[in-house]
Amino acid sequence: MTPRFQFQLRLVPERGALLRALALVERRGFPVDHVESGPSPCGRHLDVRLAGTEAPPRPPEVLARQLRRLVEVTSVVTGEEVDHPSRLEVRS
Amino acid sequence: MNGAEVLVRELESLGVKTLFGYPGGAIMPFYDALVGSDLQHVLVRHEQAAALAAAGMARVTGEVGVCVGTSGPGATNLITGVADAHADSVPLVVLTGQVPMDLMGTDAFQEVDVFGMTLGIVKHSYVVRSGHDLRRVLREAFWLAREGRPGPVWVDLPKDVLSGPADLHAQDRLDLVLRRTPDQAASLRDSLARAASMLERSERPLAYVGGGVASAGCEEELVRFLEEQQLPAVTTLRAVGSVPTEHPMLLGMLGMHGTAAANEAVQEADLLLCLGARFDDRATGRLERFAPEASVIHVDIDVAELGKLRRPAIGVAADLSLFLERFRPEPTVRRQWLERAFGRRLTHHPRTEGPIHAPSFLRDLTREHPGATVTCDVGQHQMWVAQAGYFTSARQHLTSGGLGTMGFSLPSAIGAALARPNEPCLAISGDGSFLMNVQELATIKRLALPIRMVVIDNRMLGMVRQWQDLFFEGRRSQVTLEDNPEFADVAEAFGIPAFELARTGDIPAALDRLRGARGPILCHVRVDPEDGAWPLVPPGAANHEMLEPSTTSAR
Ligand SMILES: Cc1ncc(C[n+]2csc(CCOP(=O)(O)OP(=O)(O)O)c2C)c(N)n1
Repeated sequence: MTPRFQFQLRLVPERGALLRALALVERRGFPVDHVESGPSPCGRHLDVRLAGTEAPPRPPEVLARQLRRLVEVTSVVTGEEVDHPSRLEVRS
Repeated sequence: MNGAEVLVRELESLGVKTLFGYPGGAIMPFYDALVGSDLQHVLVRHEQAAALAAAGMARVTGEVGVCVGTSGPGATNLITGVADAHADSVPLVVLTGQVPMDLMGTDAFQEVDVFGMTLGIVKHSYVVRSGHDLRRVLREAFWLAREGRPGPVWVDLPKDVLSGPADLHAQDRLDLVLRRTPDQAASLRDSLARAASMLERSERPLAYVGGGVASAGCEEELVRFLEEQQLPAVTTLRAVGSVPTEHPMLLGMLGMHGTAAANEAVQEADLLLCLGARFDDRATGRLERFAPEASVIHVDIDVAELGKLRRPAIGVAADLSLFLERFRPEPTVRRQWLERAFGRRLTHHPRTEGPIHAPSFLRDLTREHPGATVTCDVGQHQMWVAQAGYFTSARQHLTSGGLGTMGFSLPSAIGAALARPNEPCLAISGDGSFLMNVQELATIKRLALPIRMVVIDNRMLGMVRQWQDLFFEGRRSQVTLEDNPEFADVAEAFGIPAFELARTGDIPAALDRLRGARGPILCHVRVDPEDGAWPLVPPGAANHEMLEPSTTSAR
């Protein structure tokens, strides 16, 4: 089975930050399955889960680096399998 | 002070001297504030040219270019030029008017969602919603445009923000600067020794040089490094000039229209030292078959480029000048490899009679203008300039590498000529491309810019014609331009002297005339419509599977 990747982002609470991050994920060809966002102590969190139905076009770590380049993104945590958050690799 | 006045003041204090633009409704307060300012505003005749000219200036100087337009069509016209700057990592700040805030989101007159439309072609963007943010936003925009991997930053300015109250003393946001200043020392520390021993052990190493070298301003350091290491180099289209044309360590440009020497060396190399290049498909051909025997050391200021298309054995996210300063492998002479790699370099045989051979003409033209900035459009002539032109720096060779924007040449020449007023500037166009921004003849004439324009006229969209002949069984579809105007008459209608060149024997006189021109001049060169840009790697092929005229049947 294709692993389901997820990205946990922290954003500065600027208008447009959500749109920019989500647009990047889709534009880079990663199919989004589930999105959750809300205010957090550090601004805003955005969790994006990729669809497990198709293999991502490139390694998700490449996408994580592209997300980290966005000005409003303060950290990105990537991981495989939503059910196993312990396997999340923490990188900021 | 109102927002527009603060903006003008801040542009001045950021050191901006020149900006390129075109006025209209929503940006009128800014144009009002420009009256009496020290800024030189260059009024172009189409916003696309404003963006390309500003980027042209930035490509030459490495400083941030600035362009301005109004909302709606002004903004959409800017988009191509901004996408071009994004694709080639050129620092640019784009200022556009927007409808007043209470009308935003109502489909108002000349309202377009610039923020949404440009997400994929900017490094960052702002919609300024308060005059008190203006100064901070502008300072951030300039900083971001140049920081790390350069790129365009778009600042959208609602009309009421421009005409409303604003604060000249707003605070900078230092957290942004801190957050985006990576620890390059760590990346270097981890990799330098490993990279050095990899290079020392390699038998067939090759430097693959990209546009990042010119962006980082380390062309001289690169050349010294190649000489010390006796390391052969290939360059991307954008990097043509980064290693001087006649340097003994240069194998030429790689990729779709690269030299056989460059492409074959890449295929045989056992180590690629990739410096500020990004494995673009025009450079690599079929990626899985690119440099099949090579391990890769990839050095780039943009960490997101490392492993994007080819997984490196060692990835170094660092400024190239810093890398070249600290990277000190033990030099090794690999005589066999050098003989093999350089043995394939071809000598050029110019055509001395018959129709004008554009590559030979361009070679002579650029040699007769050493140090000139050369801008070109897109198509066969662009490849001829890259293959045959004579350059000593990539900042001298302005080409639309990533986006391939026809219409690039004239506006970029305007930016380049203003940036280097004491150096000659050559603007090379194809007959198709020239008409895409022909209106800028008016700007060139008004500013009396000494741009020597050369239109290589094959009465064809030559590059498309060549592909149709090769890959669509010779079915020519919508590529003939037999209804072209007389280009010399067009230039003269704008008050620019012009002449025609149609015979090989007249080339020396034409070169003299171009060289002697004080102001703008146009030379209309008639060439054979059936000439091709060779060699050519067909789409989907590996780089050593090049087509040459003798391997293909002419129509
Ligand atoms: C704005 C734009 N439209 C279309 C193209 C596709 N295109 C690439 S090369 C080319 C032909 C260019 O013709 P010309 O300027 O006469 O140059 P030539 O190839 O004949 O030297 C075209 C149409 C492009 N690159 N840019």
